[in-house]
Amino acid sequence: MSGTPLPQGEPSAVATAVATATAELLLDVDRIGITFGGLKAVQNLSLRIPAGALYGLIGPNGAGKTTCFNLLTGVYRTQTGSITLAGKRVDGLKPHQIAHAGLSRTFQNIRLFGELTVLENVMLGMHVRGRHTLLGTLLRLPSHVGQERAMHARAHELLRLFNLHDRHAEQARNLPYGDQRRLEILRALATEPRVLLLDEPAAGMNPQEKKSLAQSIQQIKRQFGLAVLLIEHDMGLVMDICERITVLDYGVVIAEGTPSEIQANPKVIEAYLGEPGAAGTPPATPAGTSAGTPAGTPADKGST
Amino acid sequence: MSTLQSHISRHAPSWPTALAKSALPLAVIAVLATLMHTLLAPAVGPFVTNVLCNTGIAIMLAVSLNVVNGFTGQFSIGHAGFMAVGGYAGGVITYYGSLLLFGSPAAQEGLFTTGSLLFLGGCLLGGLIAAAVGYVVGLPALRLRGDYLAIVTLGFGEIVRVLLTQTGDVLFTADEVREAGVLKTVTSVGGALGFGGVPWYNNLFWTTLIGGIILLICYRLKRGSTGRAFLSVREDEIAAQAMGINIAQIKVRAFVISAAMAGVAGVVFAHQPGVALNPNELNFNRSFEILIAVVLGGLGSISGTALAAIIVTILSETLKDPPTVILWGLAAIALSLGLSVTRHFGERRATGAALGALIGGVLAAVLLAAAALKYGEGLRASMNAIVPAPAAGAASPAPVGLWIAALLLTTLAVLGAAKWKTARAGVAVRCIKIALIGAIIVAAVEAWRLLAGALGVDLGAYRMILYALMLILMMLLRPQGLLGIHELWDAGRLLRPARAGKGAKA
Amino acid sequence: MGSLYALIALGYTMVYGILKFINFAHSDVVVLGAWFSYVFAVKTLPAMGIPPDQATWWAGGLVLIMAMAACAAIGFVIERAAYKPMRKAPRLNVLITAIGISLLLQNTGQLNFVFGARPAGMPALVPTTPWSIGGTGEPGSFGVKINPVDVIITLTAVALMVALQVLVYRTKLGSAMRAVSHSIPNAALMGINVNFVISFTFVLGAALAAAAGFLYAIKYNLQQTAHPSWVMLGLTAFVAAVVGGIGNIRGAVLGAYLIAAVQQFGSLYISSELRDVYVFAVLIAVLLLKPEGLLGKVTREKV
Repeated sequence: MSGTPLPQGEPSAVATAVATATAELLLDVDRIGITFGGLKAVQNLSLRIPAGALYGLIGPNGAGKTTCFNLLTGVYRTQTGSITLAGKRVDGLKPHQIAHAGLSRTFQNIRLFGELTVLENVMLGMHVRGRHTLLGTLLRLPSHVGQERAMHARAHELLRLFNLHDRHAEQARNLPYGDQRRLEILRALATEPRVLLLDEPAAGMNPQEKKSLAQSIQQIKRQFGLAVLLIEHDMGLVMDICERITVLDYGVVIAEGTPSEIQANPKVIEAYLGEPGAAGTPPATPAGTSAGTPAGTPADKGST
Repeated sequence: MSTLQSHISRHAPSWPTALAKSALPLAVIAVLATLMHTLLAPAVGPFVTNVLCNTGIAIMLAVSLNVVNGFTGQFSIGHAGFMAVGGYAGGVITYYGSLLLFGSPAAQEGLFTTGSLLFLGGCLLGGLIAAAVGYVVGLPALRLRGDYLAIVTLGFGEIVRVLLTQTGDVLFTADEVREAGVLKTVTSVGGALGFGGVPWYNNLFWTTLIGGIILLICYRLKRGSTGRAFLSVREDEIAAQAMGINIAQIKVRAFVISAAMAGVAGVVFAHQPGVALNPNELNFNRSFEILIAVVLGGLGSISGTALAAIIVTILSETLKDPPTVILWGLAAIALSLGLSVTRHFGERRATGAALGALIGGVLAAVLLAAAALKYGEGLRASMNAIVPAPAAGAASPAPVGLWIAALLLTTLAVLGAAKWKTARAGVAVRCIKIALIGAIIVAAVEAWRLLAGALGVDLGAYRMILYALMLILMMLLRPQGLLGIHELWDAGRLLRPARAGKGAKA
Repeated sequence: MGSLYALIALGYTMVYGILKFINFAHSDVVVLGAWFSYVFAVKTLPAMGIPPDQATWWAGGLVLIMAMAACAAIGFVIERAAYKPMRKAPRLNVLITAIGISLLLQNTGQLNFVFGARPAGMPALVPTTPWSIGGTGEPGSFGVKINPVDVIITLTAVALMVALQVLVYRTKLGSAMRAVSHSIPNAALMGINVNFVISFTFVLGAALAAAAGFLYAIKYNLQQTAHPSWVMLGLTAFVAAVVGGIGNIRGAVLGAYLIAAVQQFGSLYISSELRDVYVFAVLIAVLLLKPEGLLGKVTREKV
């Protein structure tokens, strides 16, 4: 894999530092695994994600993709191997500590703070980067007030990315579905992560929205200097924007490589039980391949 | 984009401005407290002042429970335990302190005396001790889910009660105290007989001051990042964790803060004229009364909780000594109007009806208050607000002016709701239906009251039944309480029609 | 005592197993059962021509059955009116509703025209002179003095528990109950009338509670319905259910006897005043160490 694309747009401090260490792995996942009772949900999973990369994680339903995310973010504790984020071991840490270290995520089933407003959701993402003292809150000390206003301003900036800023006072659960997904991404961004995990961000979107989302993801990646790991079922989207793809089946990695390598890989085709043609068609437009997705999406081989 | 920290210095105000802004509400509260004490209290008489103080204490307790139950979504139903801990601690300080310093536990006259310093010290200590206990209770909360936590907190409340009944008798003279030493003195709080003799330092000034401070704390908490973090834990723990919020720390913090405030409220309660601390009165029923105020008012809403606390207190007063049914019935109509139409908050259609509902709700509170105050005052000579009055079966006629005015106002509310900018006449019809239901309630209540009067039944006993019914109905019809997570001052934003309406799945 | 706790604990555990929520109002059904027994014994028996003091075995049984029927009816009404509409609501709300119903039952029972606010004693429906087994039972001899009331309580309780065991594990209805407790949608898809099963479970729990109330009544005096001693009884039984593993029938019985033993020993060796505290101490210990109870299963939430 040759060098990562240079960050464009206004480079942040993080992106500049990252660009100078492109050979260094941002997220190094080494043979993690977890077993629930008798079920080996994930086994021997390894991922190597350098800074600025956009990788994909795909597999049939029940393959263990979300479980993998849960392992990375500390919801489950891996029973084997290790997870290293920017040189620091994070397996075994609690989820909030991992978030502090710079790993953030969205969820398969949207988990927004429904009763809170759009703005408050994003501001909560920033909570981890602020200093919150009881005294400051109760006495409204300058540091606290300043922080509040800063969070306010920055939240508005973030909302502008997806054109949600004029609906900032609405309750999050009143947003249309697509906007809720986008809000979740913004909230994860607010934590100033170095690696962003997106769990099926395009679920339930129509082709235009998916195209726009794909562009947004790439833009965000550049602008914030992140690495992104994407779980998706829409093959068109995945093939379109991911630089490398890991394929999971029954908790085990069955293939890893560039999009074209994956499409040609017989094990992958077999796992999906799709017609060889559909999985092998090079992505033309996202709309074109979305039409091919139903054939590519597998019959459920197991439970979710 | 730059990081958060780099923004902060740009936005931070200067120290003098910040301090001034911070202190301003405190000054307002202090002024208000002084006004209440010097002007209002003498004007309305001791009984009403007592009711007002009790209302203030109820508000303090309710909003403190709101921090744990409403903001953080934990289910704690042993709140009276914190109140008891704080109250007894404060009582020990003032009683034994007075005994040691002044030789007698009687309250000193005047507002700012050494005695009242003892009282304040008691408040502080009561709050701190309650906070420590809150920490201990909060720890199991980390491991337990809703139902189990409820049982454990319930158990905590009961344990406190049982332990308090095991304490020794109260010491009466300073010599006895010196003889007994610190440990024994502290545990001589009367046991099951109660801790009588605590000097009654509380008055409208202190209630307003301390209550105001507690409300201010809650408000600033909710608006600040800590409050948001609390709410996020309530909404979705897993998402909150994923965003870097340490939910264990948050939960424990919530318990500690809530317990501290309840402890202070307990101290104020202990020093309320007419009160003798008794562990058997600070039992689950008391916790439940606090809980019902929180649930009715809206889990998570400070103003809603305060409002509900007021209503609950007034209701208990009213039930002990029911006023004429006309006023009561009007209040019922207004309240049911308000209740059923508040669900339109935030929706585009019934903006006007919502406003009418707001008026109706406020009217209900006012009417109930008028009823309680008007009819309690004349009949009650004693200042002890806890002893229920014997059944007063006779219907006392209201002064004509009062209920004509009430009638007019309610009609106005209904008409206003019906005519004002509504999209459909259906709303007006609904309002009339509600009025009809209210009328039926009135008739039923009147019949019941007459029957009860004839049978010599004490209506005060129905208090808990009424609460229970209200609770069940509330849960069935409007589970988030009157205001849900919003505040009264948010009503303006909510009443404006929403731009996109409710979202639909793509 | 253990048997009493067991009967009540079974009710808690069954409801939790099916609906996954703790029925706060359950202990109040026990109280009602006790009071119904009293009312039936005092009012109905004489009406049938049997003076209460000279009652025989089957008269006691009759009262028991009547009380169970009455409580079963109440249980049914509660379930239909209050719990059914809330099946989809968040757990917190259902809990609050349960508390509401609990208070409703307590305070309504206390009203003058229902049961009144004064304690009452059950007329003796069963012989109360103690039996001596093996010796005279006087201090210094080896014999044990057993009060036939206790024997009757234990025997009746055990009989009911065995009957329940048979019902749940050997009959079709029992299998239906177990199916519903695993998964409501799946059971429905299998053709089980879920509503009926749920109502039946409630009714069964209420009947058991009534039986417990009756048995309690023939041994102890009846306090008014809102008296805290009832709350403790119910709470202890609940703790027993949790300790044994809530949702698990055998666990409930096990937990009940365990708690009773702890209480007895604690009262003997430490202090009888703190009896309630022991119960809670055990509860806290279990919840912190092994929250799913002694015989329970761990459940995971899916993220």
